[in-house]
Amino acid sequence: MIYHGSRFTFKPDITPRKRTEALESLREQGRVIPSVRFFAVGRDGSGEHEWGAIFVIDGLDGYREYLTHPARRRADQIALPLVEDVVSFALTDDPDPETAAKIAELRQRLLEPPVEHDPPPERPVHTRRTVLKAIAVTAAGTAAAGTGIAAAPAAAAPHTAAAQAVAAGASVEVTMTVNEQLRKVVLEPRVTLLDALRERLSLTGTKKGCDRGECGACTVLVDGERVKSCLTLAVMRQGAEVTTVEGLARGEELHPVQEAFIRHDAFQCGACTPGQIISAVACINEGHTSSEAEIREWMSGNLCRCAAYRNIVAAVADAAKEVQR
Amino acid sequence: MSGLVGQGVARVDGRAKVTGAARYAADNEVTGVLHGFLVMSTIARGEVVEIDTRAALAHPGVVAVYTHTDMPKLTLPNFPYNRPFIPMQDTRVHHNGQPVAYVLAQTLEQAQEAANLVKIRYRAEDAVTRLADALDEAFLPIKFRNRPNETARGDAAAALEQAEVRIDQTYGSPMQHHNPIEPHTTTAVWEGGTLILYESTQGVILARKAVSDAFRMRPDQVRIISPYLGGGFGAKGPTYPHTLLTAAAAQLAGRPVKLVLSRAQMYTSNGHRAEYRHHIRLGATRQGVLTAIADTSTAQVTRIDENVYNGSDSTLHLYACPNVHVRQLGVRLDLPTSSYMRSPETTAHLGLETAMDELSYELGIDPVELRVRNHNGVNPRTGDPYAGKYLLECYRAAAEAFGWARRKPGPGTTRDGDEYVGWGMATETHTYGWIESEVGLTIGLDGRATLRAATQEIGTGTYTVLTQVAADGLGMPLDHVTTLLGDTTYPPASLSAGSSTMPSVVGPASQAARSARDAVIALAVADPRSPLYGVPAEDVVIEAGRLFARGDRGRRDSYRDLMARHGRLVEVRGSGANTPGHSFGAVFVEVRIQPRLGRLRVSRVVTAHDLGRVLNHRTARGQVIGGVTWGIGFAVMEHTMVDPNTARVVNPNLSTYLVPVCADTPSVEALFVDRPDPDSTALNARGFGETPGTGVPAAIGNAIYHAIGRRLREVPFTQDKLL
Amino acid sequence: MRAFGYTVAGSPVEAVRIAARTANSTFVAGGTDLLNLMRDGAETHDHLIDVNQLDIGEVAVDRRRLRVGALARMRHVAEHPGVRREFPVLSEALLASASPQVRNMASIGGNLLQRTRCGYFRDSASPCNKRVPGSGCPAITGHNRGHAILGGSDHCIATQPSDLAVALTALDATVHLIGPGGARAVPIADFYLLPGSTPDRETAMRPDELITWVDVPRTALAGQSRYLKLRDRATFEFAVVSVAAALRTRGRVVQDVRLAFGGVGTRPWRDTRVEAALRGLPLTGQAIAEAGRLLVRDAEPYEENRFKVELVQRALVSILSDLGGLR
Repeated sequence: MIYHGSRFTFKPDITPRKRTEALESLREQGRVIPSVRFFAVGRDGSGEHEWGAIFVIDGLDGYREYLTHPARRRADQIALPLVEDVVSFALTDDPDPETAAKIAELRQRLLEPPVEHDPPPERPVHTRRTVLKAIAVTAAGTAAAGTGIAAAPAAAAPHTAAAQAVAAGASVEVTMTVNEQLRKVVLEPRVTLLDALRERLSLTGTKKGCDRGECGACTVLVDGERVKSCLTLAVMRQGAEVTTVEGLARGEELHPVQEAFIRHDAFQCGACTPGQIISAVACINEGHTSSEAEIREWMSGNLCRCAAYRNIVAAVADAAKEVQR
Repeated sequence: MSGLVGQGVARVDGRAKVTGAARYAADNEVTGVLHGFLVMSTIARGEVVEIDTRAALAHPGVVAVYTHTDMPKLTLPNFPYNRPFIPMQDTRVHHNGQPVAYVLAQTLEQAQEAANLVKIRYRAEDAVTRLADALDEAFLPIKFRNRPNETARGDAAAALEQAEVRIDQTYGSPMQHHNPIEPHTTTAVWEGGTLILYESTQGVILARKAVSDAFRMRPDQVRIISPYLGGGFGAKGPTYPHTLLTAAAAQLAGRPVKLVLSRAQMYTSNGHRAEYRHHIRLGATRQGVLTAIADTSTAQVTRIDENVYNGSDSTLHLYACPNVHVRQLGVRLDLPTSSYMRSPETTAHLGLETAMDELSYELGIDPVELRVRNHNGVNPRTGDPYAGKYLLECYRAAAEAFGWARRKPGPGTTRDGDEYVGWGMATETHTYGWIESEVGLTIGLDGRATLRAATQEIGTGTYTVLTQVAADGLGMPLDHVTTLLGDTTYPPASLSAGSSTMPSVVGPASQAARSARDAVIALAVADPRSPLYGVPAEDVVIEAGRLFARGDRGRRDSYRDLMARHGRLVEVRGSGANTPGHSFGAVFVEVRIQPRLGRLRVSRVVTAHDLGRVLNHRTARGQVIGGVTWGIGFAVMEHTMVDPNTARVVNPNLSTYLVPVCADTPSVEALFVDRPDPDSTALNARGFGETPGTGVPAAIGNAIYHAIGRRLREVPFTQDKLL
Repeated sequence: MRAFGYTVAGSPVEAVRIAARTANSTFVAGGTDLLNLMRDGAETHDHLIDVNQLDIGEVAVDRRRLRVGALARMRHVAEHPGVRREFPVLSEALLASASPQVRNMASIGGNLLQRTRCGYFRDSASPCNKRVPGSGCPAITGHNRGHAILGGSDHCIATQPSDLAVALTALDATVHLIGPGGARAVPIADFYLLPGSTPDRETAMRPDELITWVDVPRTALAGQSRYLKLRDRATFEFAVVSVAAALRTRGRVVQDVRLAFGGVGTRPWRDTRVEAALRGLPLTGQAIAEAGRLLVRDAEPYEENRFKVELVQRALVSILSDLGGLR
């Protein structure tokens, strides 16, 4: 068993509601992360801190699962800004010193939020600046046809310096606001928004169903409109505001569409659900919910192979009333 | 019992699923993982002559390209492994779209591109790809999973000869694909001698067996993790080559490997519903009593195995007919092995229930009445009368809700504006299984319970129903029970397939809950610090997590206080046997056909089902609306097209292989008889998931006949057949 | 997808200039078809020129015409009040296309240039004369339910899948282009090519040209237009058969009529003989039937698409009956 614990004190001006939210997010980890066998979140009895939390976790795999689980990340996002003087520790009853070393290694690797580099740092990484510079050099030297770019806008037309260029095989830095957080990711132009979210930004709530725009499981909001994230390149969404299913709830409070999906049993396996929910949010915003037939037509870009369609229509109709109230 | 069982409680995993927190197999972050991508064969039959991997290996980020020359020698596992061979063990190509090389790279994009750069030279042999071209070579395959392919009772041939009325027709359905929204995915991590697989599987225990057999490992050296499954419908029941190949690639590379099949690869990698011809002959008296059924089906099998998955089970048990002869033939084609696909018996049932409709018109007897006259009250498994079969009640309830009594009997008699309206019905039935299962239940020091079982949540509501059953048995509120599934470190439990989960796991969960409850009561009455000290155990009542003395509510204790005092966990296991069987129902369908354009709309569906006791009305209703929609897809659109020359799938996607969208679904009124089946140990509930929908394709065809007088015998019933 | 370079263009002139100077490049707007073509290996490009920043996304209706910028998204054109009022067939064709998500993404220029959904074209392991000239056409002897009965050749029978193109063909639209040689306009009737022996050449566009906008003449006829799309599921599918029709009658007599068909031709199918056969005659079932027979007179159906010969005639009856107020 591994005992992962933390002790902390809330900042002085934190409201009771926020405090409850933070404590609940910690408890949620215990409830939803399968490898957590037992846990407690409560007043700290040691006198140094106000509060404490301890999670009893089964084995190293379990600990890895715990450290990388979205519920834990969510708890960090909610609780960390509200507390001060945090200590975190991990104990194990495994007498093998290797285990403790592995725990330390896991913590070092997974507790510090990683910089999302792609390809991995062992390969050279081009930021936008180095790429532009490379192109300028290429243009100046004229005949470097092998790069695929014989002239670049930066050199050819200086006033369009906003234009951005990257050579085949190179990577570029893309900045997006994802779920109200500024995120930077370095990737090749061929990486889709979907693979940027799932494989680079650890936002695996958005699902890959067909990877060709035919199922809708990857639907996200980009600048407020619903799009299929498998059919757009991340590099084409420089500066965009992206909302995924992870960004709909406010703390513990679910979005009305999420509530309605639970209330109406509007899913079974759940694989299409993130896309359905995002699509439903947009469908309501677009005003396409005036009749059942209209909802059915405008929700038809999202396949549900379990075919919970009747319940999806009921959920969207119900949520629309609430959102529009 | 707190009455939680039977309530339509909301899904306990709902929050995880609507927030994106639920972790499906491809959602796990594994440090240092390499991305795998398969290179698939482009011929249907022959040999790999040469594989040139140089360009692929030179691609940036590529770590390895494995071929048959690199792969470790694996042992061919038995079922649940669903192929008669393991690819990449030799140069043989058995079907188009078979893995022939495995690329590993730092990023998914690099792996995908490198896969395109692998150059393969083949020696192709002539392939047979069309059922219609090889019907002359149909043969009777060997038994598959203990089920014979020929069954007879009485003398069907003689009875047909003497029958007053005969129906003799052939029905057909094409190849179809499961297409769960979540693609098949495997992430393989070797840690020392242990293999961990994050796997999209409908059965972690069976997958462990296939993998450990293939690698000649002990089962406890393999751990399969699958807490959420993004749909399976049979596609993830068996274990397939990509899982073994990914584990092997990870072993060779010494790094974790993640593989997600592309949608196109899913059309040759995980089975399909086989193309199917079905010849049915019915004999009956003028009064509509069946005297003979001769049922010969022909399905695609492969050159090197002969597994028939679409059984004619309903022919054998649904109607009380003394002379029945069922033969399930196979035709060897150079295609992948087929497999179970949601409600596999639908394929044969389409023919039976259409033939029954044809007989009803031939005799001038109402289709419902014809079925009632041939109702079978005897359980074929035991030879005794069914203890709790309410199919007749289903016919009555659904017919009444549908308004069947108002039906004009003749075809083409009802018009509404420019549309013809047709009403049709069919019986629904499907087999359900039972698989030996165990459940572990722990009462923690906080007085809350955790249930563990190595079965899966496939969307049918396993988390929810097991939580209900446990909370009900323990006398706890629902939110004091946590259910954990989909991990081979939990007690072994049922595959999520064959409608077997509930019949297999509910009994053990209920038994575990009762044992734990009894153990806690025993602790309370023996604990001098408990207000219940000395109360006879049978006089202790538990409600909402609190323990009372019967008749003296002042003497009370709680799980929480008791467990805190006790200071040690209470851990129990539950098990128990059940028997397989059938669930039943009736489906009534209204179609509207605009004859000028052949436009067909399924406008109304009413069902009534007998599944024993209903454990959760919400999740049961979910199975009905899902099954009905599958029936609509089967009837009017689903169809995999295989090129006759190359045996390549021509529509390996979701824009030209059509599945129903939201706008295709009619209103469905789902009724349940909801009476306990005394023969089932699963709290008197039967397996159900695959029963709804089984009658829908036939009911739609029957309704089309009623609407326009045209009898269609081959699905899909597309608009060109309705012009 | 093969690795490619990427440049954001700032103006149409600049976009075209970059294209002309960059080997094996193409433009990307919505990307909703291009990404799949590249995934499938049906197209390979070494460089993408992102044209989404270009200022050619406006939709404007004046007294003479509708002008749709090539970068306008399908949704915005479909919802434009002027389009809905004056050019209903365009709005209906767009709303019958794809899914709400794709309509938010896909540009009008890209829509017109989307490529056939023929399964053999999209499978890089199958022969296809459109993808690899000279490799053969398996659709002719294979699965061809979705294929053309009009305008095919021994080399190719694939349909052009754009619903919008069918509607624009009925309304005599003009496609405006800019390229290294300057700007030019091509009537839509000349824009799509028949496959003949070069099915890889699909449009009249020259190398490195970019669609800038599409003009549609504003006529009374355009205001009386509709789109009928028949398919195998209720929505979110390409047409099995479709008809774009505009009709003006005086009394019962056909003053003017425009017809274009989808799902049946190797390009959006317009046959002015069919229109001429109706013009000046009373709109009767018989007259429409005659026109329909004329439409399919040269049809060459294949094993699986034989029904289209009948279905397209019935679709014509249906849409003209609706537009003309016949029962």
